[in-house]
Amino acid sequence: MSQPVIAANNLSIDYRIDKQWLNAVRNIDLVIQPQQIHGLVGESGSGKSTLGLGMMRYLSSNSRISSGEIIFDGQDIAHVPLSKMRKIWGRQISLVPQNPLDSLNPSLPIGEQMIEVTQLHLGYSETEAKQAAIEALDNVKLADPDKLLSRYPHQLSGGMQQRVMIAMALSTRPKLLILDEPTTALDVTTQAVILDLVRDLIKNEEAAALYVSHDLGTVAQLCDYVTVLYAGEVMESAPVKDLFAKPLHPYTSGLLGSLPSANQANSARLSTIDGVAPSLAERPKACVFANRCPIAIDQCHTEKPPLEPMLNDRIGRCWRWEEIANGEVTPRNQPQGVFEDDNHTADVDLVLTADHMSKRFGEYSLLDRLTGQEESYVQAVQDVSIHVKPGMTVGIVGESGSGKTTLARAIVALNRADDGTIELLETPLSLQLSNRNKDALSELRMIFQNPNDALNPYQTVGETVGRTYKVLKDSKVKTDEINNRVDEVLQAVGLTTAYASRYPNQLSGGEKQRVALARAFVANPALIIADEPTSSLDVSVQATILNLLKDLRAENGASYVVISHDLDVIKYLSDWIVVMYLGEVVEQGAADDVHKPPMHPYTEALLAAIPQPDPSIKQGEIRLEGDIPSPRNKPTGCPFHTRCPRYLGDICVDERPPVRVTDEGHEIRCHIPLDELRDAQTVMEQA
Amino acid sequence: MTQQQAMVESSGTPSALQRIGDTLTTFFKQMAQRRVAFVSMIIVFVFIFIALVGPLIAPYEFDEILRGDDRRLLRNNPPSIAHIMGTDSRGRDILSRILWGARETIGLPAVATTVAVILGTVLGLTSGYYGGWVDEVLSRITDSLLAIPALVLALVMITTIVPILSETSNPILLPIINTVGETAISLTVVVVLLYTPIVTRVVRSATLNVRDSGYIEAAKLRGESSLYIMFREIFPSVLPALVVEASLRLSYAIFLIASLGFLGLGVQPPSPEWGRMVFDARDFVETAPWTMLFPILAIAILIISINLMSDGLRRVLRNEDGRE
Repeated sequence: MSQPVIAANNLSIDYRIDKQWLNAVRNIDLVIQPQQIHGLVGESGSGKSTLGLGMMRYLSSNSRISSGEIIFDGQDIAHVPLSKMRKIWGRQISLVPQNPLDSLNPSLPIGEQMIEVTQLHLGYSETEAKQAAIEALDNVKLADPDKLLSRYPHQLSGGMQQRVMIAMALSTRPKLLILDEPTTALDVTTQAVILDLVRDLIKNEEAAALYVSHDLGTVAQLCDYVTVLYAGEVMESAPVKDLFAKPLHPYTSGLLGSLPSANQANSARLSTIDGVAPSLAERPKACVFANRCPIAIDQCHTEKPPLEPMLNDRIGRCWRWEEIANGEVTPRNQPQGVFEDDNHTADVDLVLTADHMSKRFGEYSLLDRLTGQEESYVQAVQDVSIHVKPGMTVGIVGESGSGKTTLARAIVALNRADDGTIELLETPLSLQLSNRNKDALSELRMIFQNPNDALNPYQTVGETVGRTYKVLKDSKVKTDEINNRVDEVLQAVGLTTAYASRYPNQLSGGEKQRVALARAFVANPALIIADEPTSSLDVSVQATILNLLKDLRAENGASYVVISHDLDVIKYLSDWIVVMYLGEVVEQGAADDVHKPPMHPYTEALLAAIPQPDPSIKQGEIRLEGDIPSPRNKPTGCPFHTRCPRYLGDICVDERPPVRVTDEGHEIRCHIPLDELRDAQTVMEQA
Repeated sequence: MTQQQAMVESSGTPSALQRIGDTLTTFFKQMAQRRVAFVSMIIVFVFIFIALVGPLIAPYEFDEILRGDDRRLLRNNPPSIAHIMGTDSRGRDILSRILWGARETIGLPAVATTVAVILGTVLGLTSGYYGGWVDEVLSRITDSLLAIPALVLALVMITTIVPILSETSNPILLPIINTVGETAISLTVVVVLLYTPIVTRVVRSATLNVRDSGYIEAAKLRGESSLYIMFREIFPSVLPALVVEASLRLSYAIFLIASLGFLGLGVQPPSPEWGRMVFDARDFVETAPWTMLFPILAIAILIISINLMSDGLRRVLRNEDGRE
């Protein structure tokens, strides 16, 4: 094998926190070969970003490299002065950061920022640099590059900004590209396009890349070699195919098992990793994963396993890897049993009927009215109907701007819908929150997306949950009874009663979400609306919350409306799936039906864009051109026609497509007849 | 960081009292780590203590005219052991006057600031929480009040209110006027008018920060009243910003009233209000500089201390230096 591009040997990086040095990543060995895309995966707090940025010495001022070396281009760059690194940064090692909008200067045009890079590093003249910038933008497949140069960052969409960042990073033909979660802020269809682009560019430019991500799916699809980090240490490092086919470390195995996948039975539990990752100060001395490991033996708690070579070209840090490799032990929590059937007791046909819901947002202030400005508005939700049967989970899926959250908020009346009717348990509900009575409020509860701001930081868990019970049930209820109910519901969500006296800042993200669930369930609701209930959680925590959601549904006989951008999560949780695009329902049907032809071209594209956490399953071919249009200028006819890969012609622009219904009640809103869709899509699947 | 740790340490079900105790202990521990702010806070407490007990510890009455053994007035005597800060042009002990004057110099602004803070909190929470036209109306009123220059407003108010008050026969107002005087009431009105809008703005923006949080929406969804949401859910997160702002406002109010005293518009003689003392001493600045120096020092030290203290408060309460 040729000379590696960069190699870290025994690298450790510390942070200074509260006047002491804490070890963030420790004894890392990491080698990146030319033309290799090396994935660095880990959950939050694993030190993946620290290591990724540390490889290029791009660390905050309160950090230090406490041991080891980084060999780049034949020299150790771990200890060279930063002034020297400035010649390497942007020239030989480039960074594509997580949030492009933070990294582009908002007050300078794109061109100026791009030109500066090549002028500084390659000594180009103004005209040469401009030419190089145009070429670079052309390389990342941005249309009209010369016009783009004079645009400002805020005039571009997130996907375009990220392409500009990639173009800028590659414009000096660096040897190494470091990508720090480059697609985390993007929608899945945009992500698919960016990943294709990165893959091609790395191959063409003969560069190497370090791809830092929490997302096993993108890593599986993009990378050649993967390193798994946990609590600042390398758990396992292997070629991507081997790693996903046969993980040799229990942590990797646990991570993979905790992902809901498309071909999994919905009644099966996800396997989980118990416990939480240790904080920087509390990392175990021996194996860092031992206290969460299902197969830990005494040795694991007393002695640190060495980072040693394992099977063919792999390294890892586990005492029992050979037993795992031989199949003598199963390094994964085997999920016990399946989910019980729902014991819903509602004697109604439908828990929720929300018909013809519409909501638009306008910015029409007093001043606008006085100055006679024309009213401008965004149609966030347009004529959407949703029905939920008892004990059923309805999943709403769509990208950002699809109106899924607005719809949820209109149903619970956090935003007043402009039009529509809502019936809960066959009783009409007002669209106005203040007109809803206690019964309606306690039967219809909501779980919020961000557990960090869902709980009042100044109230204990007990106060928050207890107050909810008191207000929703009966204000005369006795304190003892409230406390009993709080204890009961905390145990139901897998917490101990001791949590009642804790404040939110003492809880982890997963624990906060459990408390949010407890608060939702405390008054025995009939329907819970969950807005992205797991999107801000790590995958191992997500699995436990998904299991819990299913358990609670079975125990309490509640129904759910779950909103998510993640089709796999939706598929796992839901019986019925609603696909939204630009405020409209484009398709809805039973969960399995939505995942197989015939399906709406948008659903088809969404499914194709999902990076499967398995390198042997290639992503679908279909990619959506362009970005999701602004809801302010919604396309006429079919809202999807501007990006549709199955665009028919003028009819899509001029006429709103009809709703086509199959025998199973599967609805697709498209001009293409169902049979034709089915045939075309089946052919593609087989190809 | 340290706040979190302290909270983790306290276990069990905390009673309300215990919790306040814990919070205060944490607060003082954190303040103690910031030396400048802590010393300033102690100085401020000393001044408040003087305002409370000043008349008891003062060696002389504030208007006691002192004569030497030869029965001559002790006019403009320089500092000595008998009169540590010297005497003024009328032969009064300056130390005693400063000790007496603390009550008016600090007390009046304190009362006025309290009123402004309470009003501002209510208005700010209302404005921030309701938004829409309520916010527009309140914000425009706030803006217009903020546009008025402080001293001009003070001049107009004092010259108009004082005569009205002195002629009033309102049975509710009369006893108040008789106890605190017309000027004190007008000064309070001036401070309230000037500072309520500023506090309103601070509270409003702090309210906007949390208004759309999940926990506020959760409270709405369980049918809590707006009052409950504003004062039980939002107010605790506004409190840190409010404490800082209140302490800053207090220092400005002291400064304003002392300035008005210096212009001869404040509390009337023979009151030992510090600004007034500086005003009275202005003719003797060359012959007896100490008559002016000590009241000026008192004002300056107090105001600087309050400012440094609120700087520390901001850092501790808002956890601004949690990250390095």
